[in-house]
Amino acid sequence: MTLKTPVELTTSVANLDALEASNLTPYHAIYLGNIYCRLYERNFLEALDDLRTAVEILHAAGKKAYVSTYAAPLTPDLDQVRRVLEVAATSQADAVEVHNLGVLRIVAQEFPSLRVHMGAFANVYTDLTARKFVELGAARITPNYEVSLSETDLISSRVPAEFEILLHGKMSLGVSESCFLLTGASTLGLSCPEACQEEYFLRYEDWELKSLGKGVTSGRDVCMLEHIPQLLASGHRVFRIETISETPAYQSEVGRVYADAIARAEPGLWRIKEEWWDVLRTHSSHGFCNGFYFGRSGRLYISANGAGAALNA
Amino acid sequence: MTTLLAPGGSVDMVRVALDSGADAVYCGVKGWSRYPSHGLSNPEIADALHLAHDRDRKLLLAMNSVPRTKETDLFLERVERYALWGIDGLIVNDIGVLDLVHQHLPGLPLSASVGCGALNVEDVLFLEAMGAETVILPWTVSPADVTRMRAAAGAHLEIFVFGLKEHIHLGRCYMPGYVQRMEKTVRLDDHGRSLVVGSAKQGGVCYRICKVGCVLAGNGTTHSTRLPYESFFICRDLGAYLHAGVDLLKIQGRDLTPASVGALVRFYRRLLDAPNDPPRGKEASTWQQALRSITRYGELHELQLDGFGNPSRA
Repeated sequence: MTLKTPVELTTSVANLDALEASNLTPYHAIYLGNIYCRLYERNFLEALDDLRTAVEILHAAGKKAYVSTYAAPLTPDLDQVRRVLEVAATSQADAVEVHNLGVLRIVAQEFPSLRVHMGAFANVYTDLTARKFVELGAARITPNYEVSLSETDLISSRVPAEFEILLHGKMSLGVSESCFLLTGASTLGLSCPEACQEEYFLRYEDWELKSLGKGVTSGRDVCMLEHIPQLLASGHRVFRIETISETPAYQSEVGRVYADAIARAEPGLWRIKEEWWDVLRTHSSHGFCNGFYFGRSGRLYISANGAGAALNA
Repeated sequence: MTTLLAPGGSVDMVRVALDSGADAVYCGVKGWSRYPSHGLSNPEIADALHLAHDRDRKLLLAMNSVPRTKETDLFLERVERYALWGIDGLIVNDIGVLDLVHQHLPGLPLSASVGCGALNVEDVLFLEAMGAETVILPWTVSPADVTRMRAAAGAHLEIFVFGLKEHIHLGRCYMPGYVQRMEKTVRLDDHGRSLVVGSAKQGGVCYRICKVGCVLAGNGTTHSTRLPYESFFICRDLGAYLHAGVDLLKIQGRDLTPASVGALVRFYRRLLDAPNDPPRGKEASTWQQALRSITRYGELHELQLDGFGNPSRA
């Protein structure tokens, strides 16, 4: 499909090991760094030489390099945030992702040449906030994941910025000051930094959440495959596949499905290939959901043809 | 002078809080604040305002449920009405809303709710620049952090001295709506307002899913567990926060009984009036017993500073 404005497919990578293990062919741009924890093993946001190297690798591969920043920095963390921003500026990263008001202030005052993308934890719920961020220099907005697609469309119609949509993967649902996995270390026998390298899910009755230690995500994968034509028709062109806690195979194969699907999203000719579902099912341990995009409970899957129940069976 | 700020979940609670020694009371506005069932109607707000002003105290309103894009005019109309009534301040939960109200009503003192997410000194400066006269800080902010904020910013700094300590940062938790979320229409005058039940930002009702006992499964093992969730109060470290320069002490709990709020206010009034002479011995035991009988969520622990300056549980 030929679009007047090209699509950008993005994903995220936490450290150099993950970057080197990845096949990022389907993606146009990569967010670098784990936004939850300063102790995450070789986190790009702490290993600054690795961060510089990663930007070089991505640029050499013809991809954009975006540098993430911490979702919830306390005052003592700000010196490190400034060092990260300095590296982003000097290595000519293509943008920084900002979740925190104070970090936005630092960028605006001390690194005004950096392009800013406001992340999901920046809590954009209204056109008022989105417009304010744009006034302060933001070029791209990720509305909070609680905001429905219809509300996002209304906001984006009023605010001159790019809007990023989570297309697939586990959506962020919270960030904490303390590591949940280590809080229970005495009984679980877990230690840092290994604990969050494993997959742990919190389960209660019919729902589950994934614990990343300081971060919490949905247990199910947000899956918007069926809704790609609608998203494109609404004018959305920037899509994220969240893979910060996933395997390299998940990252490359799920990315390939969506790159293929977007390329084939011709009006009137759109048909989902069964093999796409096969790939997505292979990599989904707890099924699919649509997050909050349709105004319903985030763990539900909404499908026009009733396929949702079958997908999660 | 430090302000003791008490919850006003009902007109009766407002009266008890003021008579117990609160300098100011905050009330929710029905349909526009978190915890909708503890919001006050317009006649109740008028009554509460009279109670406060008759005693030369202050009344703040919390409109901390974020309006939808199409509800902005309705929200502003309500704020203008309450400003004309003479409220002493407004608590908001969104930086766009904060900026909007500040532009329209620059004389109205605004508080940036803890849901605005201030965690560090740069956040405080940001919110101050948006028009916040007061920035409300979460329990994770230590006196050392407050000292740096006080040195850098002119905004009033507010901390919770009694409240709920949850695992996820306030203003950054979206878990409840993942489990259950629904739209609920609230009639406000001639208007219907849609609350999103399950969203702390958009409707204010939280299902407290972090309270449930659950299973942590992974790496071939399962463990019964639950997310950290407990009530806290600050007592022995209150002096450190006061010395660091906090301006307001907030008691959380519009859902408490008026009698419980009265007891809490009397406790903190006692501490504030003699900050260098905190309760000791039998008096301390009596107070701790009284406070423990008040908590409604989890166990009540005193929040104290550990040797590294970080808040921890005593």
